[in-house]
Amino acid sequence: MSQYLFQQLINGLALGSLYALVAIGFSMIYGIVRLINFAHGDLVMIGAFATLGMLFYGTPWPVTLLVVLLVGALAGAMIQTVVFRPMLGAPQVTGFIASLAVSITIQNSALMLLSGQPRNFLFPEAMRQRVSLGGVSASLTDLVIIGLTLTLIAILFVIVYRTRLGRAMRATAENLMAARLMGIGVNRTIVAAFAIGSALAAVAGLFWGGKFGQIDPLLGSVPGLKAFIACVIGGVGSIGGAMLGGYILGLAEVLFVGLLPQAYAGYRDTFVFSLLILILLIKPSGLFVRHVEERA
Amino acid sequence: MSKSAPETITMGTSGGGQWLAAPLRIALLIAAATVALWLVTAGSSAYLTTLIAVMFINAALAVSLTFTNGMTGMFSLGHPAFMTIGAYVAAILTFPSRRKASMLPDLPEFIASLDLSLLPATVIAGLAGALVALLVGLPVLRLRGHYLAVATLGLIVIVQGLALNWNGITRGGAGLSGIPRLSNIWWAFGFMVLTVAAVWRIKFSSLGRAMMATRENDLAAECTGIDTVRIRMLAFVIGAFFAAVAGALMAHLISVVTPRTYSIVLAFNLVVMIVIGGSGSIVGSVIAAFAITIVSELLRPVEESFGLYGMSQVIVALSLILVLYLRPRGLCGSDEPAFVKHYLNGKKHL
Amino acid sequence: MPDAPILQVSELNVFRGATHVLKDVSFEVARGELVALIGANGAGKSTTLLALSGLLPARSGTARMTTDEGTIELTRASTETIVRNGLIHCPEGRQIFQSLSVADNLALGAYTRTDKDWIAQTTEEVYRLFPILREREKIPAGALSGGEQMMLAMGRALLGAPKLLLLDEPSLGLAPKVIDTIFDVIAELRLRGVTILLIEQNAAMALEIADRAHVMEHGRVTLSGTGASLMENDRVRQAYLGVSA
Repeated sequence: MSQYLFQQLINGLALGSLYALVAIGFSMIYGIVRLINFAHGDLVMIGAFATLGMLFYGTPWPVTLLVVLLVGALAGAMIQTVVFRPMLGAPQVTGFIASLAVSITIQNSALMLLSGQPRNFLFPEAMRQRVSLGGVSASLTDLVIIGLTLTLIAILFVIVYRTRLGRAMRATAENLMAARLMGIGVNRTIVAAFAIGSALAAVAGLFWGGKFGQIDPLLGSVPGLKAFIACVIGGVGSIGGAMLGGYILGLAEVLFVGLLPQAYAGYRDTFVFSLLILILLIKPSGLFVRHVEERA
Repeated sequence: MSKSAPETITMGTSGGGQWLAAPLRIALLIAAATVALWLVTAGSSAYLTTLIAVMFINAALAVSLTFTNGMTGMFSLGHPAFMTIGAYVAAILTFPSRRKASMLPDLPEFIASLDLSLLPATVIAGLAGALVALLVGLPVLRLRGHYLAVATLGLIVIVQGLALNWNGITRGGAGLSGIPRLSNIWWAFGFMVLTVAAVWRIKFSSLGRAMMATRENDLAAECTGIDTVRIRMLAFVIGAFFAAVAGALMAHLISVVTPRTYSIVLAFNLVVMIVIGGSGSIVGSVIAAFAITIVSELLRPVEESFGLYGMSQVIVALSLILVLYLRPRGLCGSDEPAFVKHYLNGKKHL
Repeated sequence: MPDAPILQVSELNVFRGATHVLKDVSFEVARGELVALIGANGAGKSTTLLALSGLLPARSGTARMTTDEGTIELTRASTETIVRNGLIHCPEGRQIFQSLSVADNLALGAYTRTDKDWIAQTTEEVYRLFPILREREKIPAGALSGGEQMMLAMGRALLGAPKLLLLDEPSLGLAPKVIDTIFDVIAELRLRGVTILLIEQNAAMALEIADRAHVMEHGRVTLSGTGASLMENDRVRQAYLGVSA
């Protein structure tokens, strides 16, 4: 019993870590330019394939992690500069439509380059073993995912709340004009937010392959949508809220699948999206936001 | 006649000639299109006929989405969900009853024994779509902008999930195949004409003005006594009706529907059509729907011969981004081209 | 060129959308001066300041800022460069960062400054000018009263090391006592040699402390003179000082 529950808990936390990583970037981007970036989930796919490439060449893990972070950051910065910057100040829906177009472009370009065939994705033997802790055991992969995610989130919090760049990002998110008047290079700051958020999503891609064993060019849609749901749970625009929302969503999904009869497992996504509509109905500003944001 | 006596028309009421002339002109237009279509189908392959039919259905879909989104300023992406519902409902109704018993064991007896023809099946499918829209609309239409967009994307996922898992009624991931080919190019053409006519009539009525007032300024519209909640709901439900009918006709045209036939990509392509055509413009949506259907089809052989599957989607997506840069209001803005308005409505709208 | 005016605006034309808001606006501000812009709502005062700090593009005309470090063309430079060179704009409605702490707001004012000692010293000075801010250092700025927010906005502007300070309606919506505090600080800054361009609805107060002033009407500068001479001008007295002829 306790082993079963513990395993479900670890499983849910690992899944929640993936959602949290994607949701945080999603939330940062929304916070700074009020853009629902539908293409954000596709950074997960980019990160997953970057990892696959490096696994192929047997790159050491720390290097792989760094490269994936870098690839994600570059991709995010590029998307912002090329597509979204010219649209700064356009109606929100315009940005959203553009992000749909970016997502379709990324997915189909990947289809052209990599073919739609799913690829097997295996972490090295050493990472797939199970570790026992006083009567209960968990997969090392899950523990690594949880540990690394929490570390990355801690680093992110330091950047956002303790550095000059973070202060500039918070200022830009709150009041673009005033931020300009402080002499902040708002374009650079916005690119930085995109880069950091996208890097986190790419790392989620690294973990995604390890957890699910297969990757394909279209895998980004679902994490993208679920990141949005996580943000809605925690309050769109808040980093802490996105993190909590991600973990709540991961645990809720695992509980849904784990506690109900097997026959209902297929309804997992149906359940998750019904949850979204329910939360939007009851508390559209998110579960953890006390005041409703004016500009939302 | 209309050329000789425009001066006599005052305030659009006394112009008896105009009132008679407008329906005549419309009938003339439809007749001409029918003859042209008949000539085309007579001499062309089944492939081309089907393509033209798909083009008509796409145009009807784009017009109904521009009705829901462009004219009221909402941003729903739910059309594929309603199409899926319409396709399954209609297919289940028209499927021969002797095959239903074995293929779809969980159907209630009174449905399993039905053998409906296409028209009633399609109408029921449309009503089913509208009913779901009504139920979903109650919570979802309180959301604005991109919240509504993502919630309706969620609706697509929910409907897909149900279709995928409700094996006894939907046959799961395999979908329903061997649906009787009851629909054809004439059904598609008729449906498009009907959709355009209905949306056109509404756009230039007091309801249409109320919808556009809701789009421009919610609060101001409320202040003039417009029930904006009701207006939004109406636009959402009517749009869903047309989408469900389109799904039904499409299923009976290509004889198959699976949970993934109408997906997020389709939602995106419809959005592309209405953005390029000009959000809220009926003529723009029709032109854009025709153009994009044709371009995608022309690119197909290129994709196949080079093995570059996905290229046409990339081209469509990039052209959308270009349109957003260069002409964010689309081909026609939210209006109709003046000469078309003149032709169909008479002088009073000029 | 120590004697060149710090700010030289000539024939400036600015559009907002399709509306021609500034029409051939020309004026100068000499080093160390306090110049007031007065005029009715919609006359183009705020637009002038927004154009000077590079937030609105100019259709034609020039605006030149000359300091010891050199000359920059304000209509061509980015806001970032303009601020870095010492043109600090304290905008209408204060525009403080509501969710950030008072200390964060002040630190953002010094965003372009690199000298840590200077920042620490100037922050101390702001706290001396407005002691209430020190007490509220850790509180989100949105929780401050209107007057405290104005003090924060002024303090934040001072941390940008202004050579030319643009103040847009510092008295707007404040209690008379707070207005006095703000104007005392403006007077003190002027004594210290900071050049100030001030927009003020309260024309009487503005003219009283201004060396010179310009009256704007419908996007044009229609009248210029010393603060004292404008106070005597009949048209100004009728239109802006509420004195009947």
